[in-house]
Amino acid sequence: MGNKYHQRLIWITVLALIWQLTALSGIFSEMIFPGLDHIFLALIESFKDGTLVKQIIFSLSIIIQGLFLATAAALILALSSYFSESAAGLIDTLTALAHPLPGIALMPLILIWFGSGRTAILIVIIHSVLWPLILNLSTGFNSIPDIYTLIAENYRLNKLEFMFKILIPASLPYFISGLKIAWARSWRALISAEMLFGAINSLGGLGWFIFQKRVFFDLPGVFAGIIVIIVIGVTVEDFIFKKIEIRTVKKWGMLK
Amino acid sequence: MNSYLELKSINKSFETEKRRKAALKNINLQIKENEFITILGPSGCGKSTLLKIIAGFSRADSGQLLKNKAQIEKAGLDRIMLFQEFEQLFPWQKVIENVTFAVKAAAKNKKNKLSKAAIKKKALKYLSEVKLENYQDYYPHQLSGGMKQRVALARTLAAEGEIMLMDEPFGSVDSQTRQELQQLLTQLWQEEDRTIIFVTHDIREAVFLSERIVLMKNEPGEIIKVVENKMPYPRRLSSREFNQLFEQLQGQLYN
Repeated sequence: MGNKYHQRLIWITVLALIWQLTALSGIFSEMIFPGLDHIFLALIESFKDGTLVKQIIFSLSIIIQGLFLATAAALILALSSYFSESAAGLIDTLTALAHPLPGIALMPLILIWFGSGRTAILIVIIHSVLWPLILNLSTGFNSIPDIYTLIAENYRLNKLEFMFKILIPASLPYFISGLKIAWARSWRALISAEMLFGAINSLGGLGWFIFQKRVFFDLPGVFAGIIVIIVIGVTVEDFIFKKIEIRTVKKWGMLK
Repeated sequence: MNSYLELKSINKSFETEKRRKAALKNINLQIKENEFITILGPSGCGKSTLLKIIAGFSRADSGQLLKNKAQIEKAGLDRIMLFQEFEQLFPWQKVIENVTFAVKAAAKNKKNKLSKAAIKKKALKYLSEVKLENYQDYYPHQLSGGMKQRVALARTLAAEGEIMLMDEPFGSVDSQTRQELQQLLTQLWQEEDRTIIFVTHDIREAVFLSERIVLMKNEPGEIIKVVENKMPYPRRLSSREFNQLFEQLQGQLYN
């Protein structure tokens, strides 16, 4: 694992060098191809005046809220479809219809129904998280070994005990991989929704931040925003989810 | 003879593509309290199906299943099943938690309130009976197959049901471990008041373990004969008596 990050660091350095050389060579105008020095200056500047931090907090708070709500809803729906056949039919139909629909396609509708505030962005996030999570949870629930249901029957567990003591922990690998997909999708959805919905009181999140920088043709600012988006995305995928896996499914030998 | 557990003309068939296949035909059996009985037969003779019916996981098409003259309807903690598969342990729980799972379930079933310490103490007692008290904080995937089955045995014991049902529990471990586990099981059975119904296709295992051996045959699954095995415990695989009974059973199974 250390080797992987080592390699990554080397390649990032190489790519950064190529970038900087291209910028210095003057092939492109500095306006459209800023050097790394300008980009980092812009990054530091935006952090210093506090605008970037505010946007990061705004974006993260919406996405965490959205992930939390969608996860709770997905758990309830996937559990109902596990225990009830008619619920399964309905939820399966809804998922089949809604899952392939990109959140972006819903935005005009959301604009009309909910306006362009925080609620609208939240709905886009929930949409992008809910369906893949339901799919993964249902697959997880349905692939637990038959022996577990026999044991639950044998030891007279009630439905609630079965859910929390067996069903959910037994399908945790699926749950976590569902959350990973959910995170990746919602992070993309968030940035695009923020661009489209704009800001209230200059608070519109990272997507709005880079969109705004474009309006003023501040390319170093745009790249600064993109770097922040990449760093947050990678951190969550590589560190937070890795940590969760190491402490649970890997420790339990449920994931190689 | 006191009839503790009674199986009366049990029939069971399965639907296959073309026809109904009889899995069990007219099974009659009386099992005594605290008896160690094995059901011995080739694969496909319905012995596991019979055990599942006794466990309450599956229902007979016709016939009766009685315990102390009362009809058994569904699965319960008085008849705990020990399976062959290693995956019967919960991988997300430590060894000790896998055993407290049974202690808690049994306490709840009897409407007993047990303190955390009492639950742990009881689980540890059963873990030490299978000689795994030093492995309480391990996760199942860190154990060998034989150790996993010992944990599963401890969990089965910890449910404190009167009857233990065993579906070839030592079928997936190597032969040396298997002998150790067989020895352990007969010891535990002699120390505690339990009825054990043990399914196997291994004649030696049946002769080594049980007081009575129910012989079954294939197509349809029927009882051929019930053989008494009065050899004293601990039994020796090399003794003359052992081999005589082994050969007799082999003759009866594959005449």
